Amino acid sequence: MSSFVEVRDVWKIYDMDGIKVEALRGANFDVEKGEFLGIVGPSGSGKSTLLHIIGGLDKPTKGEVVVEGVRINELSDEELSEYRNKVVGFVFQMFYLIPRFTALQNVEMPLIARGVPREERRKRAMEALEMVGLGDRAFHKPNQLSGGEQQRVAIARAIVGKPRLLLADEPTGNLDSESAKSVMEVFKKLNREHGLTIILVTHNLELVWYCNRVIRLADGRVKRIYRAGEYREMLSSMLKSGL
Amino acid sequence: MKFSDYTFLAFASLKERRGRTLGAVLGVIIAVVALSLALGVGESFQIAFKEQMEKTLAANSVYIFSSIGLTEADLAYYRNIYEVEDVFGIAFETIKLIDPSGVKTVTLVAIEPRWLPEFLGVTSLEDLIEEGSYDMSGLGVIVGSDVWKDPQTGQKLRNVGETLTVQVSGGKAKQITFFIIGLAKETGGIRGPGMNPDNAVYMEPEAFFTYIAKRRVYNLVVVVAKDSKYVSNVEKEVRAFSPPHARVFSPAAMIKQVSIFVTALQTILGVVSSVGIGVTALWVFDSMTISVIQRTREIGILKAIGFKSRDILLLFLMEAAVISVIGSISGVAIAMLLSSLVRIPVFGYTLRATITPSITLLSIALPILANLVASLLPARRAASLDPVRALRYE
Repeated sequence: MSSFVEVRDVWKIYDMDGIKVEALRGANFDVEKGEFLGIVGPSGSGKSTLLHIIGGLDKPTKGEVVVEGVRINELSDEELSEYRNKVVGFVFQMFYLIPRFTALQNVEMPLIARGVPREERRKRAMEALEMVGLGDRAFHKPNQLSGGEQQRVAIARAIVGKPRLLLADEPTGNLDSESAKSVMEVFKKLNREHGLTIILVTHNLELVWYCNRVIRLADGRVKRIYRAGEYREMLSSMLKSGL
Repeated sequence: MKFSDYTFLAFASLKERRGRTLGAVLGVIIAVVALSLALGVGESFQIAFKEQMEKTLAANSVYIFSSIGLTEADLAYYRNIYEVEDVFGIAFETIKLIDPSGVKTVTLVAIEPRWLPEFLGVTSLEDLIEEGSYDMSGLGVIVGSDVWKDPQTGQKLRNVGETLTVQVSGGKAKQITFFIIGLAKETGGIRGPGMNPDNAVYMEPEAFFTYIAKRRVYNLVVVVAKDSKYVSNVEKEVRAFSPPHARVFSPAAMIKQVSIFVTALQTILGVVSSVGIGVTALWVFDSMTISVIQRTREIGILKAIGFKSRDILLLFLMEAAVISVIGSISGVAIAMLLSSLVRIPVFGYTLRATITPSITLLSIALPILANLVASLLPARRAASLDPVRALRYE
């Protein structure tokens, strides 16, 4: 039986003013449904590129990504938009909220793209905000919220459309440790209680304890996949190698 | 996405950039006011000119001019044309009014009273007379407004019942005294072919040929057709019957030519005023281009959460449409208000811009179309942005 996400020999080569830069060099791994997968590795190892390709924001130069049996690199521009809207939810390091809209309106955005009627999307957006503990901040604008709150609004936006896969790219990178913890608790709740499959890209090795499995990426390749009991070994190995 | 959602997002974005939005809306308003008023004045001018021409030069008539003169025999020929209803002649003579204040040159017009309204473009004789009677006979005359009052000050110079002494310089050179029986209303000065009807004295033809003219001939003959549809045939027949020195023309053909000229003038006015629409479209293009650059990351976010390229395109086009619709509707409303307040004097007439439904439609549709075309390029650029690059844009 095939996995929920299959990454098969994925290459990504950028052309930087005539110079070929290999961001990914044949990445291979699977993600099972309901899994909380961490991807760690040094800067430039291809973590974010990999996440963008799985999320349909970017296309691989070679190889394929199959999600729920669908080869997403074969989807048209329109189908990819639909995939991003219905199948995946993104959480970015920089939150990327739209400043002129309230928290509630920001959360409504994916439902606007889907054409959900106003009343229904308001209700669902409010439910999503309450799920991340921000029901009382619904009518605040991003500049009236703390970094941790903004990131939780971004999580609410990512889950409001009930996606099957949540992709988080350094979600705590801009947060203090307290806010980072609250954000990770939200992820944990979404994974454990709602069965949401999560792929988390991070620099912060403390976060791997939230994951079921961790992929160590280096030079665009999967160095090794660690199971829950192997994290200490992974951490010492990474510390030794200076990563 | 729904239409209401595009509108909501467009309004939210325009509200955030309210300075540039207001500038663009103001630009559209000014351009639309200029276009509407230019076309409206042109329309008004065309209507007034055509009406006046039709009133003065009846559309069912054919005019025959002759400096030598047309005789009663010529008139009889014209009367025999099958589709002709009536024929009348008018004779002119330049005379000098002798006044204590000086000598003034006016035109003495010999015409049967019943044809005066036709000749001067009024509906009835009652409409022609300001004071007195219109029953001209013998040396009883009706005087034009410039003769009985001072054209500059409006001060009344002559009254009904007074005498009017004139010097006739033509064939029977002599001094003659008329009796004023009526004072004519001001006509505006462009009615009547080849003369200023306000600076004229009107008398009955029989007395004219008895006391003034040497020969019984008419300078102008008007042939009235039974219906305007026969004018073309009547004109051909008149040409066939007319002596070589006569010049024949049909007012209908002249009105048509003038209408073509006025339409061309209106088109030129419209084209010149459309420059404003073009400038506004450039403004919208510039504003949209800046907006796309400033909102690159936002476009990336929208794409990441599932907005289609088409949604982004329509979102930017909607912003241009909102600016254009608000601007053009406000512009037309202001133009309508101005057209009811502002009157433009032209050739003694007071014109006000006539904002017809077609002008309204054009003034609304043209800026919308121009601004949509102008914003198409930046909107397409926004729609085609790569989401990853857009998200990384600083």
